[in-house]
Amino acid sequence: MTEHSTPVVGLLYQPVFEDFLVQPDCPADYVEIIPDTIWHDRGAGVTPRFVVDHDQRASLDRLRSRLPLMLHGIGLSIGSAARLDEQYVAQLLEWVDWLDSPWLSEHLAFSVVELDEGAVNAGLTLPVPLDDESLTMIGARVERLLGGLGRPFLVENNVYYFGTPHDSYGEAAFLNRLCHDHGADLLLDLHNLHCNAVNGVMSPESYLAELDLGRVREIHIAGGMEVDGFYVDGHCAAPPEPVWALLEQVVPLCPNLAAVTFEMLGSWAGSLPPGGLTEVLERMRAVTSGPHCSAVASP
Amino acid sequence: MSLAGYQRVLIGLLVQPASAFRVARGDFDEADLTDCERERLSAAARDAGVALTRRLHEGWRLTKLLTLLPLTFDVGDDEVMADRVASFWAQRLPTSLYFEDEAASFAQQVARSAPPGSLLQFTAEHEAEHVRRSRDVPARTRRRSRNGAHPLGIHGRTSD
Repeated sequence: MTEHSTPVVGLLYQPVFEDFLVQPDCPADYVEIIPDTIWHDRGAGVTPRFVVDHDQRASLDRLRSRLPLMLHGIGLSIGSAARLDEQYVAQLLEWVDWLDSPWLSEHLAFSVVELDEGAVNAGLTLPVPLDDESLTMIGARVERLLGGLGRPFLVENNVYYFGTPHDSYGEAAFLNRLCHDHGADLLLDLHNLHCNAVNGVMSPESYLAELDLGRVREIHIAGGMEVDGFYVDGHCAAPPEPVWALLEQVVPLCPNLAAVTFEMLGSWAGSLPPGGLTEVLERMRAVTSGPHCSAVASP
Repeated sequence: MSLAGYQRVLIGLLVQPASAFRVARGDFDEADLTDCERERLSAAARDAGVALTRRLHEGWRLTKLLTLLPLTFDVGDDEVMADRVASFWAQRLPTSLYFEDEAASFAQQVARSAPPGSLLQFTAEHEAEHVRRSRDVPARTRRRSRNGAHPLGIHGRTSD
């Protein structure tokens, strides 16, 4: 991805979106892919551990022929106390290099624990305690990743459905420390922030006032749904109006913002009206290319 | 390292629901937790947000089974299959983001417990075999070494 093809608005890859993405008039500038959904991880100790089947390979070829790719991980579990999976890290770094992703992003969370009988994976981005122990551990891992990447590593703010008493930091302060002390940059997920606001976890105004928006390189937007009295980050709809309002508010405040990505699960694609993806992407472009956004940067 | 123990108990609240009652009472399997971690976990065990997170986790896990074994779930009675899933999960923890092994094992278990010669037995056996075979398909693909070809067999971006 170079200055000649500045990515401004993109879509998270889902197989059902593939035909849309390779159309000549597709309004997306890039595709964000979750490598864990492309490769198959057969587990530590299996050789080869990471494999890709022929259909996935063909899809990736087809996408790369049309658009730049950007990598967004879900399997790193950077907040796992037990260990950082170095085989997994090596695979991530290899793909970032090979696909020339402008950066790598992951979640401020953990999903894996180690038991005597092996790993357990919750499949969800669970909150880490926001204290000095976590900061030291995750900060060291950020530095480890940056050393291998040779390009930015972005940490994404999490969605919280339950609190962790006695946190030493709010999330914005914790992320700021990861940036200033350890070299991370930020992926600001505005739908996560919206979920946290709707569920009474935090105020977007005070969160955004505290977060170092100068470190935000990418923004995610999405839609969600109500489950059991909570508003859930379901990636199941177009972004609701409050998320659009947050985007309009935040974009001019992020001088190093380079990309805005719409995340939606393919299984919910039918919930969008015909032309819905185009409509979302064009609205994203209208926000990011407004006169107040002349500072939008190249990655 | 007590953070590791804290995380094990927290994930246990999701994958072993019965543990929530014990943890809410302050009964922990992990010995080296700090007082702060014990307080955090007891609060989590009583938190409606953890119950929601457990539901999201189970929905994620069930979706994988439904996707990989559509015919088995179509043929099987809904209530019976729900019981089978619950008892299977009680014996087996989720180990990765990939569910072929879990789906094949589950289908095998369904086949074993189905009436001999029934459509459910036949279907579950068929899908267990199908999932096992599809799991082995990636073995035909290539992976790039540090100094070798691309992992997908693509030789440079100029070939796009």
